[in-house]
Amino acid sequence: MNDLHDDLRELLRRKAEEVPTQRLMPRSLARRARGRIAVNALAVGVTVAVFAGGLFAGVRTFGAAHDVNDVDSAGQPPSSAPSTPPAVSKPACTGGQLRATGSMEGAAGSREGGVTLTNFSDTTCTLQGRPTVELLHPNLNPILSGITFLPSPPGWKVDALPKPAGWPVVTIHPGKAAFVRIRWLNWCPDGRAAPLWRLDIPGGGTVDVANGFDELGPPPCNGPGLPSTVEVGPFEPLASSGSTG
Amino acid sequence: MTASDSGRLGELYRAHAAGAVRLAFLLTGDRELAEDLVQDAFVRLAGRLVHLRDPGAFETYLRTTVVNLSHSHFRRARVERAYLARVKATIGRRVEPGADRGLDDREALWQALGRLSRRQRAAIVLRFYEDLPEQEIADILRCRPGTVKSLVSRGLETLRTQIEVRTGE
Repeated sequence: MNDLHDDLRELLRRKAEEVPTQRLMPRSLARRARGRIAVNALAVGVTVAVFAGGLFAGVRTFGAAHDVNDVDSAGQPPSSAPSTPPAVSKPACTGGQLRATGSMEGAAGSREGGVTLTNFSDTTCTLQGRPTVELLHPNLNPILSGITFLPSPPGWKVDALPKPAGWPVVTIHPGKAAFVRIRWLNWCPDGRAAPLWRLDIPGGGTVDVANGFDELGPPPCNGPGLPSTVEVGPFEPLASSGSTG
Repeated sequence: MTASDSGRLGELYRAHAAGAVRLAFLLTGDRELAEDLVQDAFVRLAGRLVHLRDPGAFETYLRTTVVNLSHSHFRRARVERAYLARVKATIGRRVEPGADRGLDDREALWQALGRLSRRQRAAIVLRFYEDLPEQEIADILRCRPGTVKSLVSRGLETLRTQIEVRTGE
């Protein structure tokens, strides 16, 4: 047994010695190595790009789904900002700091306009997300059925304007205002009394819409038996207000 | 590849290429193929130099890569056929009447080694040339130490049988 082991060791040693020991790296090897490294770097780059693209697409998809599904079981848009807090140091606006005025225009059986929220305090504050809209009977009791609330895009997007700086965070300096786009359809039956409007502010408190919606009156009843639809946009800067993002 | 990378690769080549070619030659029995395999191994490892924290580990990586590449080459039938044709030609040249008995015996053993399965041959070369422990051979061949023991044992048995047959002729 040991003879074979020794013979093998001797054979392998002798055979190995047939290979010369001194050798310099061939130039072709350096060239191939460079190519290999370049391919590796390209593969890493492509992998990173694909991953980043997938991540971006995933985040966008999630964001879109969040927007579409941001209606609770009662048909209400969300009452608060997205789960992540705004990346600003300014405090969130509360209902007590704001005054709301509405304005509506008639359009093809619907009413389109919005609510202007003016900061009448002496403190700069921020808004982000969407307000929860409540419609009230003339006796100030909330209307609990027959209304579907849906999220709608911001006015700047509907008007194909550039995204305001800082959006979705809207910073309102004292005396300046933010805006919430509203679209309202199908108020039945015809002649039904116009409701009052109240907005829950994500930072706390509510603000009643003082006037404006009753000038034109509610939208016509185009679908008897169907709920009224109120589309609510997110907070956005009021173009003429000078509020900043 | 930066100049420093190229210089580092050159240093590693000077330090380890000869040993790697010898190992590849013992695994394949073919000098040219061994040279090609080692160059391929260096090209593969060149892309990983930046991740190599322990320079002492390079030899282990190189040895493993050479063994794996030799296996890959043998898996290709075209290469294997060419190899067998070369071995046949070598046998024709080297086994000549009147050669001294010691050289004849060594060639017979070398040829018998070449007829082993590639895994048996690799296990025997790593065991009797590189003097590696079973665990390290198992890591290179990606098997259990018990499998290494079996590969070596069966390889030796095959070699012994072939030598005995030849002696009896």
